[in-house]
Amino acid sequence: MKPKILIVDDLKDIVLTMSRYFSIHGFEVDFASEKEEAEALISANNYAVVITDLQLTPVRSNEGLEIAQLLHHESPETKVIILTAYGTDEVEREAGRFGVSSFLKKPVSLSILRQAVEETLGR
Amino acid sequence: MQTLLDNILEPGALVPVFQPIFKVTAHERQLHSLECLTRGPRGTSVERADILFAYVRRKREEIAVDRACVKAALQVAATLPCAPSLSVNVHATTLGRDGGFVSYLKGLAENCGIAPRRVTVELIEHAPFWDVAGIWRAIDELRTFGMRLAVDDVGAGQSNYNMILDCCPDALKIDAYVVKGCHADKYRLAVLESITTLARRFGAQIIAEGIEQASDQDVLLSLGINVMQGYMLARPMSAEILLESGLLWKGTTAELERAQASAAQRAQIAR
Repeated sequence: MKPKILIVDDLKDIVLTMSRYFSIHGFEVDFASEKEEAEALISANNYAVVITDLQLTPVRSNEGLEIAQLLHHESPETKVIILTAYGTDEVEREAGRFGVSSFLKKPVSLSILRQAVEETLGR
Repeated sequence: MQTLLDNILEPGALVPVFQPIFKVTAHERQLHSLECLTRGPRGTSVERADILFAYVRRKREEIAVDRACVKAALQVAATLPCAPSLSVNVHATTLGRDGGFVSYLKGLAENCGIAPRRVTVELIEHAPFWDVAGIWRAIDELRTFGMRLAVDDVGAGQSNYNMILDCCPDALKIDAYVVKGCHADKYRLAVLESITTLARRFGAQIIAEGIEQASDQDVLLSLGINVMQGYMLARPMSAEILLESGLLWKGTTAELERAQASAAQRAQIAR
């Protein structure tokens, strides 16, 4: 069975590119552009991995951490990878508290991201 | 930038479907009413109803989306013949907080040529607290206009005793979680007996959801519960399939089963 992953980013081009890439490489992919959309999908699906951008809106901040926190409580078996261009050590420590598997600084190539997903899944 | 919520609220984006509710006897099933259900915009992540409403509740946009859902449903329901009774789902938070909702619903029904007395509001709730004063005002208004009130999902989530006490509903819809497998589970049977007693004391009708097995249906009939809804009886369907089924004219299920089979066959060929 294909591992099911959720990709969350407010930039639709990025989401679509990543979705196509992971679909080609044998993953079942859902995607979301908003925190609430991601949370609704998480409530109805069992994802092996959630890849989320840290900041999903210009006004709010660190929604990716809120998604990680939700998963930590409601679906602790789901692995989380956070992508960010603006991460700080403090945010990274916070992510650690919510069991985030990887914290990757943007820009990150698709092959490195896939490697992180595969490692997270122990493959 | 266009958000998902903007997509959902675009005219024509929400897709209404209808699930028949039947009055069942040992020999036949007669159409009782239609529950108006909603699917999210096609091709989006919120096409499934559970994901759509989880999203809406997280965005705290129940009022706008409930208004859009009842509008979409009643506009399509207006095209159905034989004036069936209709039920629409509304969040308790919408009824409590949107002081204009009931007038909006009544106006909408009348504009669509649907008498308000044909409409039942099924109250759903996922939040633990609600505005009781607002709810009471809305319920008074509903009843003044001749609409009925049902509490949905009884036995699950937040649809509990305080909601029933606050609303004194005309009908209780028993959640599928309680119904499924009741023929083989003495504890589910005990809950069903308890809800039956409760409904009688309140003078409320009971509607059982989630009928998937004939043996569960038999148990419900033995308890005096004869209004039922579930995949075994009929799945949610578009207005087109409903029309094709002849169910609205004949009121029984034989043609419906044929229409659903033929629709499934067409879908298979199209794929």
